[in-house]
Amino acid sequence: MQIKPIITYSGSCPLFRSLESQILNAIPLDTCEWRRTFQRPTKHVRLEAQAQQFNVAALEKYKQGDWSILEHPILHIFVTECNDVDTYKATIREAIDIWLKTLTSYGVSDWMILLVETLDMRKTKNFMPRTTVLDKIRLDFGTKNDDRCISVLNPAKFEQKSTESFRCLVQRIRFLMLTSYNRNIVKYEELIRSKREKRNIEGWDFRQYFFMQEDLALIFEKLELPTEALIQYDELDAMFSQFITHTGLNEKQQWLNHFRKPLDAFHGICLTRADKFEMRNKIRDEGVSLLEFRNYLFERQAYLLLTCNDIPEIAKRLLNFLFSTLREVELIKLECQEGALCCWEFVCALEVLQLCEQAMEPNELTCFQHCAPIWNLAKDKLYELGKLCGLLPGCTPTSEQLHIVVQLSSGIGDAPSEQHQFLQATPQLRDRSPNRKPKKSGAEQLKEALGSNQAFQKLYLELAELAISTYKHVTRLRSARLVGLDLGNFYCALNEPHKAVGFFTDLLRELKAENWHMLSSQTLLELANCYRKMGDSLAYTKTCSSISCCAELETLVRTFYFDEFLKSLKTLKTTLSAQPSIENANYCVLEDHFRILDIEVVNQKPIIQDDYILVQLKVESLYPRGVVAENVKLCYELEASSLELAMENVSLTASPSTVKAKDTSSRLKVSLQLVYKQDNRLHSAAVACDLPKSKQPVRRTSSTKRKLSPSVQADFTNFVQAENIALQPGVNLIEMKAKATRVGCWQFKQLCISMSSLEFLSEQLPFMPATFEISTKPASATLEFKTLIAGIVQPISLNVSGGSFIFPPDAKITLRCSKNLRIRQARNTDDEAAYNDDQSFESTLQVPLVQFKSFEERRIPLEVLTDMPGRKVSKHHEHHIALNCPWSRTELPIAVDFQPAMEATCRLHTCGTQKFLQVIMKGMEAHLLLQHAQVKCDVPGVQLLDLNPESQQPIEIYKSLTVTYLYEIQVEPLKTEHELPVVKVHFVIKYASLSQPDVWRTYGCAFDLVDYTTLFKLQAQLEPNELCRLRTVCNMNLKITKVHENPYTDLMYEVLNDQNLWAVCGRSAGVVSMKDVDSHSISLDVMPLSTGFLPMPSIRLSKYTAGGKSKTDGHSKVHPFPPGQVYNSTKSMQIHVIASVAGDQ
Amino acid sequence: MSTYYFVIVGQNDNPIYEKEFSTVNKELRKEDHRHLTQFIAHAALDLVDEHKWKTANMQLKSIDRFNQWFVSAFITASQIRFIIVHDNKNDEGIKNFFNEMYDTYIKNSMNAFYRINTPIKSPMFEKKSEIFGRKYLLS
Repeated sequence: MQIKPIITYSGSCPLFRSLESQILNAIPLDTCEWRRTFQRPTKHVRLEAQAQQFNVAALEKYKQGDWSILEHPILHIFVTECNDVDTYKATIREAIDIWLKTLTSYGVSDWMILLVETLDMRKTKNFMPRTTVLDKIRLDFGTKNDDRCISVLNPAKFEQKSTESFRCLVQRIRFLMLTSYNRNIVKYEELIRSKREKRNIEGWDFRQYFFMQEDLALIFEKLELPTEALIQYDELDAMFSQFITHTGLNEKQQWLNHFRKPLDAFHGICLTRADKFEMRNKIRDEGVSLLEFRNYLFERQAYLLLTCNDIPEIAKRLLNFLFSTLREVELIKLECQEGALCCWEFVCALEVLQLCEQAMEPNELTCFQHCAPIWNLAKDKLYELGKLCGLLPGCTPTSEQLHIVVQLSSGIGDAPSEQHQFLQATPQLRDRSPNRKPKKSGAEQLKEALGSNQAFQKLYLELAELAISTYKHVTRLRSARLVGLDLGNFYCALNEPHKAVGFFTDLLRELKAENWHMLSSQTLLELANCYRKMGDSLAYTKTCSSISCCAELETLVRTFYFDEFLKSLKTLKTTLSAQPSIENANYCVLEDHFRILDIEVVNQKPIIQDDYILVQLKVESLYPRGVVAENVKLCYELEASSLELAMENVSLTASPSTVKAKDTSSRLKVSLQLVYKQDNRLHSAAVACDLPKSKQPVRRTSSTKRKLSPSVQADFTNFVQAENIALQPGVNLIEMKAKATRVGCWQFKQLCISMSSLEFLSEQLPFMPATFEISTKPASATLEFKTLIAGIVQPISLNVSGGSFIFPPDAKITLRCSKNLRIRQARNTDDEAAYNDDQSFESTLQVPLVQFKSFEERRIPLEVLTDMPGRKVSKHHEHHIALNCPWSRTELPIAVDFQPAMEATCRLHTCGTQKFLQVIMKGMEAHLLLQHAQVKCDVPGVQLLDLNPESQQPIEIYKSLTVTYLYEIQVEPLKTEHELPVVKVHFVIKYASLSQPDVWRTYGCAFDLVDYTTLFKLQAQLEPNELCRLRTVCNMNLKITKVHENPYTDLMYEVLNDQNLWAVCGRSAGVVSMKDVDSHSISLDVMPLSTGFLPMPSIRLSKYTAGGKSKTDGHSKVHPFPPGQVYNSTKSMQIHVIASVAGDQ
Repeated sequence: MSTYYFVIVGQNDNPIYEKEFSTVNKELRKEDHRHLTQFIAHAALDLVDEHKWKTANMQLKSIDRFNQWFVSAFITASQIRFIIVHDNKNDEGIKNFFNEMYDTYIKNSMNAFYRINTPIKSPMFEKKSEIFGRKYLLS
């Protein structure tokens, strides 16, 4: 159907026909600017035209209002060749006037008068007339429309000269045509509007209105205004929908019966028809079904959108087109074959999808956004058809279904003849590759798919994959996973569950991450079915467990899958041994099945090492019935209180020092690595994973918020556990315990519940659990005592601190004393006899710890006793006690120092040849009673006389108090010192402490008497012997007498004077020789320095060994005599010194 | 016959309130849909994320078609999404329903004991939802 504007001609018709071909061919050669009305933008339009002879019938339709813009002539031309003014006045003017009046009577003002001129006549006459025929015509008819009167040279005769003139003529025709269109379009729109307003009047026919408005759309399309044309079709579309939706059953709308034909043919849209207006003719003549009418409308809209290069809009409109049409079919209640509409939808979808595949940038991405749901729709409709025709996996079509297929195939119909590739190619579409096979149309693909099961499956899988990939391409991931759910079900039906698992798992992960519990429950059901078909016992067990814990499902479903779970749990052991792999891990998320409510440590703080940790775990079971957990473990880890940094200098080549920092939370354990240069500057810092390499801390997972299984398993080195626990639905209280082995501050990390070989690992404890501390306190035993005194009973106490040690019932501490030290337990003072009995002291004591508990402190009073030393060896007497405790294998020595209770010394006194022994007892720290002091000598010939008075009462001494005993030693004259150089005497005394007055102990001390024979006698005499005056020199005569034979010949005397009393004038020392004489006299001068009774100056006598006698000894040696060998008879004599003043008187 | 499935989706894409309005029998509805409306609402969250930055209006109107189902959406300033999956066009009613439910949601959010993004279990909210659903959607 060629749509060309109509131009009528009148007047000299043969002349116009000779020019018609040239004029009509010249009009499309160039564009013309179209100034539109109502402020619309101007547009350059390329026009075509066809010519008809003037006919009043068309104008008659125009007058009556029953005209079409397609058939209405837009321009009327009157052609004449008159060049004579007179001839014009006689005949032509009248003819033009009649023609013009006819047009005016019909309301047409689009006319043009064309004057064809011949130049030869002008040259022949050789004169110019005053006025031309054109001037006359303009004067008569074109007073207001000068531009509508035009003259042109006849191009048939003068081709070269008439080019410019002819071009002006064609340009003027274009302009007048467009001007006419402006007016005609406005009038036609008014006509359409008036027709629309009469739509509720009985007898109004939508089809007539449809053709009217479509004519306008066709004109717009011809004038290269596809958007305006599209608006017309959209208005028709909306009006049609509104009629059906609101007044579908109204009897006034009789024209709807034309569309109530049964849907015997339900072919889809075709965007590549050879004859675009084939359906239009059918609508006008025969009548079409609603589906066919809708198809025609959409095809026209799609064609116009394609002209605008707006392919995404076609895809965008398709779904709305399909769904609206389905709704209209339902409202009109058309009878159609089952599955017919699905076929129609499928073919329409594929038709648009094939068009979108050829789209180029920048429409490509937008096309994909709209194509994704279309792919999904095609897949869904194909599935419905497969379900209807018995083409689903596992089904065999019956004869009835085969009949349905035949009917559907005939209803789809053959594809209409397409345009050739050359005609269809446009710059907006991507050309196909020459090597590529031409794609089949949607109808052909559908027929092929309905023909066999294999073809159906192939096409369905292809469509589903395309839908998923397109959805993912436009980042509609949730929709892609929804398609994956359908595809997974299809794969399950195909008995290929291993392909379906991925789709179900992806959807399940998404739904769980966003807490869509109802939908995730449904997906779990699909997944369980899939795993059962696969024979994956482990995955099936885990899925059944999850299903039975879904509260959204019905009780019957949960119970069924719970039984399945228990049944398959028993067969897991054999399965796991056959398939040990990481992907087939035997643990799942605990939070899907249990809910941790509370964790409480029952022990009192702190927990003692090697004691049992008691933990109460409150957990809620989501299972519908009770289950038995073989093992429930709750692991704990050390809680790092602070970050410890070690500042070490390392070189670049050395390995960096690792500082382990354990975070208190459940994050991944990381450590801080600091690398320093040699000059202590920081080179680099890094954070590294602190887990052992054998364990995989992080595993590859998809980037979702929630994981289907825990990725990190905590360190279960330290855990509390309970075994064989029956968990009932609801809240369960589990008591768990373990032995506290390591010391530190601990924190719970992860809970693990084991059933058979399946483990439920918690992700993270829902709350911050309380930390608990395991501490150990070492047991200790100490001896507490004050200053200990040897010789008497001293109190001592054994202090035992149990600490965290657990004492056995027969625990005891063994105390082992050193030599001469004895110990016993303290007795009651009531038991006098046992208290005073020294036999109860032992060198080894075992102290039983009866019912001793941990952290108990006990004080055990003890008593120790040691003998006093027989001689003065040292200040303190050292002993030690070794403790053997049950918590230690080694003995613990404790040093014990004793002070003597008293001290005994002796001195030898001489009176001439008589010898006296003085024994001095000095009290120390103790308060003692003394009695029965004796001195014994076992040497024959020596006799000791006790000069002390007999005392009946014991002598009491205490600190710093001394008691002196005096004895005379008599040696027989026959016994000389040569025979008895040493005389040993033993001093024995009995003592008792004041606290124990009845217990007398013996203290003995041995003395050695040496140099006890008097050898020399000193006598000093001062002259005058009666009166000495102060500061007057006196003469002191010193006489040394040998009393006993001795080997000493040279003696040295020294005057030891007091500087305040005596002053020695002259020599104060000298050496005398006693070799041949028995006595020697020395005269000295002394002077008293003080008045009163002054003692005699002291004289010291020494043995003198002169030096120089031997070569080796160059110094003289002086050795004083012991006290027993020299007797100074005048030692105590006093001299009365008077003052010198009395001497003056 | 009309069916409406209304869901409020929290900031973490988690459903915090679900309600179904229908004039069909309950048993028939359960057999027919099989949670299809919930899947459609969940899949439409991607489109809500696309549309919410293209308009300053809280009413996103109809954003998706799935067979005969429409999906209309409403998004608050705090990124809480109201979604209705329905099978017939009722733009004006849905718009009014969203506005009323938004007011009700704001009042429920002011409750000091209610935390954002947690399921709404208020009996008053349930009652209001029932009233507005019957008034604007099913009539």
